[in-house]
Amino acid sequence: MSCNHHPAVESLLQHASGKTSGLQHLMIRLHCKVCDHCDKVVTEFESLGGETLESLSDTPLQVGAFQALMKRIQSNADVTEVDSNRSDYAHLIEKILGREGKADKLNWHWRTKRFAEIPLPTEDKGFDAKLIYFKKGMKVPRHTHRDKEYTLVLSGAFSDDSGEYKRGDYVYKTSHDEHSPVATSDCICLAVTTQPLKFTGTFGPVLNWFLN
Amino acid sequence: MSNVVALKNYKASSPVLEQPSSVDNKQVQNQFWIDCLIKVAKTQDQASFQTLFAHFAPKIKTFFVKQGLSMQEAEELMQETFISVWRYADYFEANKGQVSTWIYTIARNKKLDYYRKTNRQVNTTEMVSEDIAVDAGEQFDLRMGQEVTAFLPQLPEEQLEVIQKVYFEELSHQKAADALNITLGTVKGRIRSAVNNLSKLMRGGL
Ligand SMILES: [Zn+2]
Repeated sequence: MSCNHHPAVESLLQHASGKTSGLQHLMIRLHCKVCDHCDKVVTEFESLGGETLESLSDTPLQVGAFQALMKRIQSNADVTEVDSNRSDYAHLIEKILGREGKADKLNWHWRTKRFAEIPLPTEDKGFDAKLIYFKKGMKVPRHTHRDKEYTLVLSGAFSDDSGEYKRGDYVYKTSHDEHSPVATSDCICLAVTTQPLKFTGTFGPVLNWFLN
Repeated sequence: MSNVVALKNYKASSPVLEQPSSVDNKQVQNQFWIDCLIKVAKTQDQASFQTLFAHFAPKIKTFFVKQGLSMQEAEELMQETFISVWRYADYFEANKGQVSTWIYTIARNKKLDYYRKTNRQVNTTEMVSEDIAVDAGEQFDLRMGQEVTAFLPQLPEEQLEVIQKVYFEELSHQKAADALNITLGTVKGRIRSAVNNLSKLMRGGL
């Protein structure tokens, strides 16, 4: 088992039943790429979707539906991807997680010598997303979250009072959790917050300014 | 992909293959669908494809209608679903389970794609209560080396039923209560129990 921190069962259920979108969808999908455990759980939930599909009544199709379908297949028109999450940066993030390419070469915005970030555009209202890069030993000042923070570790590792988080780990913190993570090796994370982080430690004000 | 080429021999009136009569026997039925898919994948067999289509397409259309889409949208997405079934039949892993599950995931992803393209909000299921997120944690920690076995069969039938209605049949808690002839409170209670049980099962047994 490579991961120690997983999405909640309710999130996996939402995911399997097609109720996650955007960043949440991306994070759970990527976690499942690394975590066989959750991948299996999602697959098992999906079987409920299959059963439900079998139990549905029939809705009449348009006349000649099958012929129309074969024509479209024949003309090789409108190829659509099976995969439902194809924003540009989703692809990039997947590469970092898959250990392909050089993450160092990205256009990092260095905020300190050991801390960099790349803000990500997002269509999810009320969400703020960024890639963050901590050099080994970098300690993030103690902070709380005004609402929710989701982190997916893409490479390296960091730790805080409640444990160590490695590649693929899915971490969820609420406004109740105050923590001060330390990178135990060079670490890249996808961080999604519903509100910007709020630092409470000594360096708080400066870093809040840097981050916003 | 490669399937497209072989379509030159397509005849509009390919006969629909006969389905096994023992519909009750899920395994026999599934094996039949697997055989159909394999024929589609290996020999671009249109009769097999049409057999799959005849059975699943009207249900998939219903699935999309239940997602709140119009008849026209549902017909279009049903078609796109089957274009993918044809193209990706090769990718179905027979050892991984039910054909209906595989087709379901394709349809679900089509829905998500379509919602994204048309800037629609995905309809989320109401979370049962905040204290579950706090209590069980929005993440669960596992001890090392534990394998997940099938855990859904370990869930009491009445809890499974509610999960299916609320998450997969797109019923609101109230509609699920009406459909099952139980109170709203009971629906919420069963979902809460189901989520707690599933959390425990995933952590390695009740
Ligand atoms: Zn997991």
